[in-house]
Amino acid sequence: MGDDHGLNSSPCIPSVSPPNENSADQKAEQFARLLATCQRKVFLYALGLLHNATDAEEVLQETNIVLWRKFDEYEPGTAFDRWACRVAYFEVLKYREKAGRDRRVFGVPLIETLAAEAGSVLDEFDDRRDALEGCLAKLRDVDKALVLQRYQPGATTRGVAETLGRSVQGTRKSLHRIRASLLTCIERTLAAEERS
Amino acid sequence: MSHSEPRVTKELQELTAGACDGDLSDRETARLEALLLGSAEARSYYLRYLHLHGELHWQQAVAADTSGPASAATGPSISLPAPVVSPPRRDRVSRLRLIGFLASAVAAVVLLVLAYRALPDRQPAPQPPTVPVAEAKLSGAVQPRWQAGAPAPAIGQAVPLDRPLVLERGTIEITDPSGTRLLIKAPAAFRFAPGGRLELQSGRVAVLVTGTPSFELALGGASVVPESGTIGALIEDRAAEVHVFEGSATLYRTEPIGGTLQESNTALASGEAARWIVDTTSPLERISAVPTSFPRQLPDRQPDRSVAQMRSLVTRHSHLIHHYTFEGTSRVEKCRDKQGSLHLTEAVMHGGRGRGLVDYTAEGIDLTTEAIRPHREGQNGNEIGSALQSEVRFHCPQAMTVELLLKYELPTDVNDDSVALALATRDADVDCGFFVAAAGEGYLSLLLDADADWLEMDMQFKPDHWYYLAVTFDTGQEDTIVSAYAADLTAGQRQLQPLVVDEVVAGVPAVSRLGIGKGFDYAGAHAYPWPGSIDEVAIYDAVLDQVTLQQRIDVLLP
Repeated sequence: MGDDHGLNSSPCIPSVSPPNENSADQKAEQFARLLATCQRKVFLYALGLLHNATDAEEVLQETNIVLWRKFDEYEPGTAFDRWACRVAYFEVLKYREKAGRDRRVFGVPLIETLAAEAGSVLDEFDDRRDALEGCLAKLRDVDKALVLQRYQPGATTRGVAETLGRSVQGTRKSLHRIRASLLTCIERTLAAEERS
Repeated sequence: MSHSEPRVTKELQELTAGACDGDLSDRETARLEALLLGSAEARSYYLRYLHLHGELHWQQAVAADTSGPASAATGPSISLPAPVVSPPRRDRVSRLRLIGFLASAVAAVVLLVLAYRALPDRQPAPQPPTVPVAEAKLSGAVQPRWQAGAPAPAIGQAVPLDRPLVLERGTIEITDPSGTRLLIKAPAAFRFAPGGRLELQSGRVAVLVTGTPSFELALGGASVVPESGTIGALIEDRAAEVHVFEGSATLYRTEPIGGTLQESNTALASGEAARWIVDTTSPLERISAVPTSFPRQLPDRQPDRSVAQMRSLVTRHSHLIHHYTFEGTSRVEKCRDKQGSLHLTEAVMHGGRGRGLVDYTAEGIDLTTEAIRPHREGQNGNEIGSALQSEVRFHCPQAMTVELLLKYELPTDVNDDSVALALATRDADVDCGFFVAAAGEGYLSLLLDADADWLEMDMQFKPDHWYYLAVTFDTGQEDTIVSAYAADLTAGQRQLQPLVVDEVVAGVPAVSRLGIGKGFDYAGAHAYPWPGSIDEVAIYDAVLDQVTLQQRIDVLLP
């Protein structure tokens, strides 16, 4: 894999030598490489369980810290991303306890079920991302502009609606329509690739 | 998937989309959870949808972090844990003591650099069409609604340059780099040009100059340069006006002077104003400055007397059983019964084949509220549209008061003389509960027995006026004692007017779903949509007296 596209490495199996116990720098470098390859995956995994991007980012941060603390327990050569997702799972459970004091959150049975089933989606997450890029390119300019505006960091649907002078409800419907069409496009692309 | 599992329903899709938008209520979250627990197909859809949502979120976060040198230097927003958070291993503490700080710092830099280099998609992601911007920023806004399609700014953002902007509703404040503030009140159309120039096409603007004047206002074929103080400008009905309230301004315009057209400079001092016909060389007309005609500050979002105050009063009433404020950020939240569990859902007229959308962000009577506006239009002699009704049947209490704010608009169909219902139930062809209706050219009416005569009151709705209405029902075996009160809020009516008091009406309120902005025809089909806006519907299980109802008006009108 190239350095510029580290997250494209699907298996997340380290391609460098195991860390030298006598070198903190090498350990840090090794950790950084492994961590960087799995950030997106862990984020997507946590988002599927929490359905809130801000919550998922917080869980990702906590997961990163735990991964670093427990890095000595990691067995080189095994799938780092699966280990990271397992750690993230427990961080999600901890986070839901905290968040559940303020609002309704998914119960543990559903989180367990979703965690077990998220793997099939995550296994093809590189293919899905590639398909998404192609599908985004096919969107009408106005739809592309709307979806990109919505996903700017810190943006909200209400904020985008106010910016565009549209109703929140109408903007929400438009976004759902665009996401639904992207999802259909992704599924169709993956199915076509599978056939070929 | 077993045969008993539901398919990917519209409800699941809407709740999943709502989850992505972060606006699910607790009730909706519980409903989504139930749907997901009950269906593997639903979970698969949910996970794939959330994955897409996450990918879009991640891509844009990365694109934003790699879009400029400053952010690139600090890496992505999702920061990596610095090694300094990890305690050194005990057997190496002594050796690391001297170099610990340097090692940690180096490792942290390595982490950040490596993480940054490893991030995906460093090619710039596709961006929305870029709009050149002036340095003036939108510094405040109260209930702004911009015309669709315009590149409207958000609060804190620069105002787009050289683009027509149409403010349909609300008041906005723009601050230019010198600190000069502009207050623009809707409806207004304007454009910001390079060099600190606002071209006003229609509407009203107040310019509050602070510091060095660096601003020019263009309107109606003339230019105005405010020098100090506060000025107001407007274009309405082909006339342009400039008013100087404090300080001074200079008006530059082409005028007939001595038989020829010449560029003229007209100095306007405090208290002076000028008027001319737009885009003509007609002479200036001197008039008096009228400061009250222009916004001088953004409206107060929480005034002492407002719908919000009335809402607060209503909420505290011990007999309140259902309350629809139509506030909230999601459709579901707007349809939520804020007091009970008689939640609303959208219904389309005429056998489910109606069309048009309910406007969930319709303008309320003041800035503390948003109303709903059902849709009504004529089609082949029928009135069709969209409105709301309760998810389950409404069992009217024996003693009941309904109150609401509503605005009546003349139907666009000139042949439309059919009934319009704001609050209604219906159980059979005869048993009905048309609690608040407009019938016979907009007369407030009600009906509880379809075979009986309507109770038509001596109050005809004035088009586009907001009203407070309250109707009480004391139900007997076969008839009901009714009282009704109203106040024309738009006309500033502060005293509640009794329309009927203790009138005996044939029939009793029917038990059925509660229509808000609609009713039901003889067969129970959706019918009679309300032409106008509805807000703050409250239902009590008691007959409230006039004194109690008057208290709402007392805290409502400014």
